[in-house]
Amino acid sequence: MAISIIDRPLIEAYTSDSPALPVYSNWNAVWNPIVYSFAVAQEDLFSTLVINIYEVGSNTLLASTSYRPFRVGTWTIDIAPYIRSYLYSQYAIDFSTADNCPDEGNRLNFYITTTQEYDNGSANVFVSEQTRPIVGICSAMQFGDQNFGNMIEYVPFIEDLPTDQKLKFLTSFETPVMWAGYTFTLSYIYALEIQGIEIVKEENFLDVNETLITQDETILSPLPIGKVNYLKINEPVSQNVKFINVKLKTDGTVVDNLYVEEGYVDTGYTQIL
Amino acid sequence: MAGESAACTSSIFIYGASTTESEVYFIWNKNTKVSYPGLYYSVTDFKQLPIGSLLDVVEINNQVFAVLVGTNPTTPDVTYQLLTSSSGDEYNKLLSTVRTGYEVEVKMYALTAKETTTYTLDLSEFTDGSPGETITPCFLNYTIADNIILASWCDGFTYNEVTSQSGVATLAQTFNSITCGWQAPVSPYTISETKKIEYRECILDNPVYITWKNLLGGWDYWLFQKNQVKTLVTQSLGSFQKNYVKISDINNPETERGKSAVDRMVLGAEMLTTEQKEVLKGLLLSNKVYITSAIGAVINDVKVVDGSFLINETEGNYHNIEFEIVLSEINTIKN
Repeated sequence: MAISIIDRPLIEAYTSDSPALPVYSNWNAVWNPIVYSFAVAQEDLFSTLVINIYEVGSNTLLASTSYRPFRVGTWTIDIAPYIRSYLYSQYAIDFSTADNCPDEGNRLNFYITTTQEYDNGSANVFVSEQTRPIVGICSAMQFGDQNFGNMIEYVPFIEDLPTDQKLKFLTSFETPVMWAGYTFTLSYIYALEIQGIEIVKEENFLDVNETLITQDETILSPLPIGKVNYLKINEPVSQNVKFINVKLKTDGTVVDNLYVEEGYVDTGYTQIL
Repeated sequence: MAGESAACTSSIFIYGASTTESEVYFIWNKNTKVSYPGLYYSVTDFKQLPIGSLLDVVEINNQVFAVLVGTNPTTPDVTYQLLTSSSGDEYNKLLSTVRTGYEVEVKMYALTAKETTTYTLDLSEFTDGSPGETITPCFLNYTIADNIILASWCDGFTYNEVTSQSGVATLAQTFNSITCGWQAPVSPYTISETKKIEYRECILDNPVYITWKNLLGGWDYWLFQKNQVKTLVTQSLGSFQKNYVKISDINNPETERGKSAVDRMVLGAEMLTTEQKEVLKGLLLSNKVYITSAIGAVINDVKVVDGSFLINETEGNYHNIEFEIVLSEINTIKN
C-alpha cells in the first residue's frame, strides 16, 4: 500500500439544518502551518516521498521537497514555508471601474503532487491533488485559533449559512472608523465558492441613533474572483451620517464570472490578445 | 423529460451531492467540409496539451472539466493547433484545425468534493476570423450518481429536470451551451457579516493617514491628527584628513564626508477606546505601513520604530497612544 494522503488543509462547514451539500474552505494563512497528513505503512519505509507544489492554472513548479519516512504511522508535512516567498504585500487600489478590485500578490492558488519512489525498484506511485487546490493567503492567524490557520471564517459560501458562519471582513477593528474625504476600504476574500452569482454591496447610512437615512446597492465586478479584494466604502451624501453598515449579498442572479489564473498559456505558446 | 429543455435555454447543469463522481458527456459531430474549419469555444481555462483527444482541462476548485477532441475516423492523422481568439476577449479561445471533418467530444466531469461552481461552454464554427454558426451537439451521454440531477437551466431559480435517474445513458439533445456544476439555482441570501463603520468628520489638524496590512491579510486605516512631532535625524558619515605639506598651511585637517539623514515622525492619537487601542497595536506588527493620501495613493512607505509604542492609560477607559515612524532616507551629497 502506498503512502496516502489522509488529511488536507481543508475545513468543512455545515449549515445548522442538515444541508444537502457540505461546503469547504481551502484558504489558509501562509504564516501558519499548511499541513498535509500522510499514512505510512511498514512497506513504505523503504521509499522516498517527493512532494511537488504547483501553481494552479500555469502549472508552474513552485517548489519540490522530499521526505523519507522512518516510522509507521501518520506523517504531517507543512508546506507553508514554500508558499510564503511567492506572496507579497502591496497597497494598490483602483476603483475606476467597480467598487471592488483585487489585492494582487496577497494569495497563491496551488496544488501538490506526490511521487513515492521505492528503493527496490518498484514502480513509482504518483498522486496528483490537482483537483483539490489550496489557497495560501498572506495572513497570520493567532495561536489557539480554532481553525488552525484555515480562513474559513473569512470565506464566503454559496450556502446561506447561519449568521455566525458568514464571511467576515479582513479587518481587525470591531467597528472601523472612516473619515470624511478619505478613501476607506474593507478587505474580503472573493473566493471561487461564490462564482457564478452576482454579488451586491449593500451600504446602509445611519444617523447617530442608527436610524436608516439612505441605502445604496452596488453590483460588484465578478472579475477579481479567486483573490482577496478591496471593497470601497462610499462617502455618504447625507450630512447626518454617523454610521455605515456594510454587507455583501446576492439576489441569485447568475453571471458569467469566468475565472482565469494568471499565466495559463503554456510555455512555448503565445496568447494573442 | 428531455423534451422540456426545448422550451428553456439550451443549457444544462448537474447538481446534487454525492460521494460518487458524475460525468456529463457531450458529442459534437461534424463531418461536412467547411471553408475555414475550426472550432471556437469559450472556456474558463486554457492549456495546450499533446496531440490526442484531450485538449483542455479546466479545474475550478475541486471540479475538473475536460474538453476532449476525438479524431475523425476518416482522417485519423489530423493534427490540431490551438490558437487564441482574435476578438480580444481573453476568455474565448480558438481551436483551429485544417481538415474536412471532425468529431468533438466535450466531457464535463463533476467531482463530488466541491459543489459550488458553475461552468459554461459554447461551441461554434470559426469562419473568417470570427465565431460563426453555433454547432449543435448530437448526443449527450451521462453517467450520474445517486442524488444527482441533470437539468436544463431556466431563468431565475427554476430549472427543468432532464433526468435524475442514476446510471449511464445517451440522450439526443440539442444543447450548445452547458452550465455544469453542483450549484442549484441560488435564492437571495446575505453572504457576509454586517460590518458597522463609524463615520467621522475630519478635523484638519495635521492629519496623517496611515494604512497598514493587518494580521488577517487585509488593510486597516487610521487618521492620526493633532500631535505629530517631526524630527530629522542626521548622522555623520565620518571624515578624512587632508593632505598637507607644512603644518602651517592648514586650519583644520579634517574634512567631513557628508551626512546621512532620515525623517522621523511621532504620531499620536487620543481618546481611543480599548478596542481601537488594541487594534492600533497591530501597526507595530505590520510588515507594510504606508502614509496614504485622501484618495488612497501611497505617499510614503514607512517603518514603525521598534519598541516605540507608548500607551497612556487614562481614566474612563479611554487611551492615548504615541509611536514613531521612519520616513524615507534623504539623499545627501557625499564626498
